[in-house]
Amino acid sequence: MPGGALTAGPHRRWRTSDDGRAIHGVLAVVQPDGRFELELHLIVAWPPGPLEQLAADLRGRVRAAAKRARLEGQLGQIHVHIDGVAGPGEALIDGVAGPDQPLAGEQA
Amino acid sequence: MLLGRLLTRLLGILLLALLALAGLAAAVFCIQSGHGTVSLPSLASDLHLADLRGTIATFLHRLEARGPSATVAALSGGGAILLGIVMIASLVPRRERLIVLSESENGVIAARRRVLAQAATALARQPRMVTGARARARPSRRKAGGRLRVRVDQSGDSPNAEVTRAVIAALQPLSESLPLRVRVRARKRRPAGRVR
Repeated sequence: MPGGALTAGPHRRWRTSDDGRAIHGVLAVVQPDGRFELELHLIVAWPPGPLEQLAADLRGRVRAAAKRARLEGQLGQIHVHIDGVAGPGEALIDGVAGPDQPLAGEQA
Repeated sequence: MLLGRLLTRLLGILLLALLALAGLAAAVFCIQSGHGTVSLPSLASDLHLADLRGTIATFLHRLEARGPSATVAALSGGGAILLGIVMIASLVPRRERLIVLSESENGVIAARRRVLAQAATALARQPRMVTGARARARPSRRKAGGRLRVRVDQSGDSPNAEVTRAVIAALQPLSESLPLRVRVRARKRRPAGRVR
C-alpha cells in the first residue's frame, strides 16, 4: 500500500497462517462474540507522512476487503501498530504486501 | 515478572494488615499502666514474649558461633537480600513501548516510541544549520499521545530561537496530525578541529 508495508517483525512472530501460507504483519484473535480482532503491524515509508491517516486508510482497506468477501460481520476491531520507519533511500521489503501490492481480496 | 509483581503486592498487603493490627493492639494495651489487664506487660505475657526472648537469644547465640550455622545464616541472609531486590525490581513499572495515537471503537492506532523518536531525529536533522539531533518519545500516562523531546546541535551564529523554529517546522509532518507535544532545545556546538 502507498506509504507503508506490513511487517512480520524482527522475529517473524507477527503473522497468521492461512491455508498453508503465512500472512505477514497480521495477527487475528477470536473474540468471545466470535468476531475476529485484527492487529496489523506496519513499517512506513520515508518520509513519514500523517501516520494516523495512513493507519486509518489501511483500516478502511481491510474493512472494504472484508465487505467484498462478505465477512464484514465477522470483523471486530482493527488495531494498527506502526513498528518501524524505513530510512531515507531504504525500500520497504518486508511483509507480503509491498508498497504497491494489493491486500488479499482487493483487485490490483 | 508478572508473578513476582503479584506476589509482592499480596505480601505487601498482608504485611501492612499485620502491622496495622500490631499497632492497634499496642495502642489498646497502652490504656492501663502497671500490670493491669489491658497493659503492655500483660500483652507481653499473653504473647509469651519472655519465652520468645529466650528462644531468640539461643538462636542468636548459635548464630554467632562458627561452623555450619554461620554458613546457613549467611546464605539465608544473602538469599533474603536477593529476594528483596527481585521484589523491588518487580514493582518498578515497565516503560510503555507504544504511544497510542488514537483510540476508538474501531480499534487502536499506536506507534512504537522508538519509531517516533527515529523519525523525529531524521526530520530534525534536515534544517541546514543543524549538525546533530537526538529525539526521545514518551507516552502520556492517562490519555492518547505523548511528548517528543528533541535536542539539536547547531553550527554557525544563528540564534537558538531561529534554529528551534526551523526544527519545529521540519517536524511538522510528524506532529501536525499526532497528539504529540513537541519540545525542541537547540545548543551551539563548536566545530571539531578548531585551531586557536
